[in-house]
Amino acid sequence: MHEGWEYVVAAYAVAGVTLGAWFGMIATKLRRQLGAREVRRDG
Amino acid sequence: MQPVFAPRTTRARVSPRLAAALALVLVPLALVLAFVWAPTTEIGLIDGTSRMQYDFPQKIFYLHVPIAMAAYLCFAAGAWNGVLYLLKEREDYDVRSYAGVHSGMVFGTIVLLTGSIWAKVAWGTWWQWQDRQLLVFLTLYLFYGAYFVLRFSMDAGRARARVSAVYAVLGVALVPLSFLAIRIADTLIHPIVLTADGDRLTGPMWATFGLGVAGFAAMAVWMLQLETVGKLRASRGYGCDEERPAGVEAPADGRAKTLSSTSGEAGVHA
Repeated sequence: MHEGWEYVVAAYAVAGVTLGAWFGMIATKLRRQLGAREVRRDG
Repeated sequence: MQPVFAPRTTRARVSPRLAAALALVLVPLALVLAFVWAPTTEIGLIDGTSRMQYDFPQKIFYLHVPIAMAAYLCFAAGAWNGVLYLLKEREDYDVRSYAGVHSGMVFGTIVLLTGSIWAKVAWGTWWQWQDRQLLVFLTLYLFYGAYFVLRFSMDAGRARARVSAVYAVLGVALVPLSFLAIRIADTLIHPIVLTADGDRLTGPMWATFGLGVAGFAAMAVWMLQLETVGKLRASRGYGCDEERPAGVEAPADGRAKTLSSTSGEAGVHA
């Protein structure tokens, strides 16, 4: 194992979790908006 | 991503699908190349005043710097759309400006966190107050953090949009200063790797770095567009009751209506 690997893992994990959570929140919001629009169209 | 029930808006200047495709291809490619192709060299990322304890954490560079550039891009987009709002007063420029600042803050948070991890390896401390590059970026980050306090302390409407646009434009002056701070600093702690001589990075390092910059720039554009679409839909009353401005009822015909005014102002500003 390379020396200092834990710092690299920590940095990539921070970036991955933050970007993933951000994208997930936006995708959830857009999906909910799409669902609301389809409910209105059907209703 | 195309708006499913397209609210009236300015057309995106970069195809969202193209931006998404570039981000999904280039970012993983660059990060894989950072580990399997780009060499770890002493001349690469170590300046004359500080030495890293280990060489392997140089891999953080391929994440930290491209994301910093994506943050600058988002802040610049926020300022540019602020200028366009001041000139044209169209709702979607206000929303794009807000989305730019918001996206820049997300990328900026990652920059500060990954940079702090880098600093712990390189300098033995999580933060270095003597480094002007850090201080200017922190100032930029806090400046745009105050943007949200300002924006959400006012009621939705043209006044809030104007004030937000002016604030976003003022903040972008810190972007070039941040970029130049490292070069005008008296105490050079932050490593300079992007010089005109180009002798700090080898060919594979440059190529990997370039792919990362392109990939994260595409990701920034993509996320900006997703944020903008979501905010525009919310401001027009679709699906997110908690985000609908006061006085705006859910529309039956695809456009929000205000309950108490005929100007539509309250209903069109996120």
